[in-house]
Parts: sequence; structure tokens; C-alpha cells
Amino acid sequence: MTLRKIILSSLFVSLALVFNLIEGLLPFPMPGVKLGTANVFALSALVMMGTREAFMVTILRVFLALLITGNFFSFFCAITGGLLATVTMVLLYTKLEKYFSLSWISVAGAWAFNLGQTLVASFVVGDFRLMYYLLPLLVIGTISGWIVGKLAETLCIRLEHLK
Amino acid sequence: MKRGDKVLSAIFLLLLSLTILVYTLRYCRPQNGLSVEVRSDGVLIKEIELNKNLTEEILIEYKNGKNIILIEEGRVAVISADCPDKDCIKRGWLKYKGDSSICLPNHLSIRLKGEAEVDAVTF
Repeated sequence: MTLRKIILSSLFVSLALVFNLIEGLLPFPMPGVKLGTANVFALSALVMMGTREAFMVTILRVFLALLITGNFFSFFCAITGGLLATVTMVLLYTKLEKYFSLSWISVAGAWAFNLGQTLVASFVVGDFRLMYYLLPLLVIGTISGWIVGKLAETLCIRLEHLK
Repeated sequence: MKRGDKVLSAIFLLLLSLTILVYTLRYCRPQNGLSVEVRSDGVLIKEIELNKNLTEEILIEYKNGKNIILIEEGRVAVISADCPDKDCIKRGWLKYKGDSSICLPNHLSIRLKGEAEVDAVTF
């Protein structure tokens, strides 16, 4: 790991954390719904540095958010969803990059996150009928995932010289 | 747009129409004979029939924590929870068959049920 990578990825972790916490303060009409701006940095880390850094940004961000908020249930949802999302995005980006643009890779990641999050919630409550909630979540996830992907694309272009 | 993008957008359109269909069906059904079912860890702990004249505050206390639900004019909401995130309270009023509110820290789920629950489309 070069010094440049260390600095850039720690910067991404801290930015992802701050965005994550600010988002938590915003009111959303449906529980479990978030814009997911923290993912902008995981996705940018994937594009600018690689698989390892993408996982690092996601995992560190989720753990640090737990330390600050103390909310174990958001943590379980976020770690399951976050890992599924990162795996999906890494696979699509590294193996199938020629078929997918970044914003739709981000959408696929958002879907994986939604799946993980509803699975955890259904498991905790012990009622798998909760999975029906996945349907509206996926629709909203598509919109926010697409926006997040566009933001990551812009960020990567702007930071091209730091690569 | 790349080829994979098109596939994913097609899936999105499918999801969108499915969601609209399911919710329209749900909200257009007559809402009668509603009852609220309270579960903790998936086990039914209370079932209360809703009718227009009933107003009642119910304290639900179990091993994981405490919640208070309010029943009023054929609708129900969680109004108090001893957990940090209060997602179940933010959920607001449950009015339609199949509406549900969950409290993850307390492993609680509250769900509205109609008299005849047969098809999966109505949830």
C-alpha cells in the first residue's frame, strides 16, 4: 500500500462516516430508507484504488458509526447490507465492467444492501413476511443508488489527478 | 447506456409496476374487520379487534422491553418505545390491511390483519 493510497482511503473512510452520521439526522418518511451517500466513497475507493480499499472503507465506516451512535440494530443491518453491496459492486466492476456503467453498478449495490437489511430485520423480529417491505425499498433504492453512482462518477473524474 | 444497464433498468421498471400494482390493490380493498396482531420473536402475544368506537392505550411488556400502542378510530400506532431509534413510532398510523410496524431492539412486530387473509397479493 503506497502512502498515497493510505491517505486517500483514510480520507474516504472519514468522509463516508461524516456523511453517514449527517444522513442519520435527516428525517425520512419510511424506516430503513436512506440516501446512502456513504457509498459514494466506497464506490470511489473501488474505482480509484481497488477491491481491498472498497471493503476497507465500508467495514471501517460501519464499525466507526457503531462506536459513535451505539445503535446495534442499524449496525447489523448496515454490516450485512454493506458487505453484500460491496461484494456485488466489486464483482460487477472487476468482472463485468464493459456491460455496466458506474451508476447502475451502484444501483445493483443498493439492491444487495436492501436485501441484506430486510433479511436481518426479518430475522431479528422472527417474521419473514417482513420481506414484502423489500419491494418499495428496492424502488427507492434504485433511485438513490443511481444518484450515488453519478456522484461517485463525478468524484472520480475530479480526483483523477490523485490516482 | 450499456447492455447490462438496460437489463437492470428493465428490472427496475418491473419492480416499479409491481409495487404500484400491489399497493393500489391493497389500498382499494374495503378495510373492514381489521384486527391488530402483536408478535414478539415471531410469537403471537396479543390480538385485538379494531372497530371505529374503540380508543385504547395498551402497554406491551415482555422480556425484551416495553412499547405502548394506541388504538383509535380503526387505526393503530406505536406511541412509546424504550429503544434508541424509535423507528416504530416514526412509522405512524397503521390503517390498511397488511400495514406493519416493527421495533428491532424489542423484537416486536405489529401488523394489521383483515378478516379473511387468503391471497398473498394483499400481504
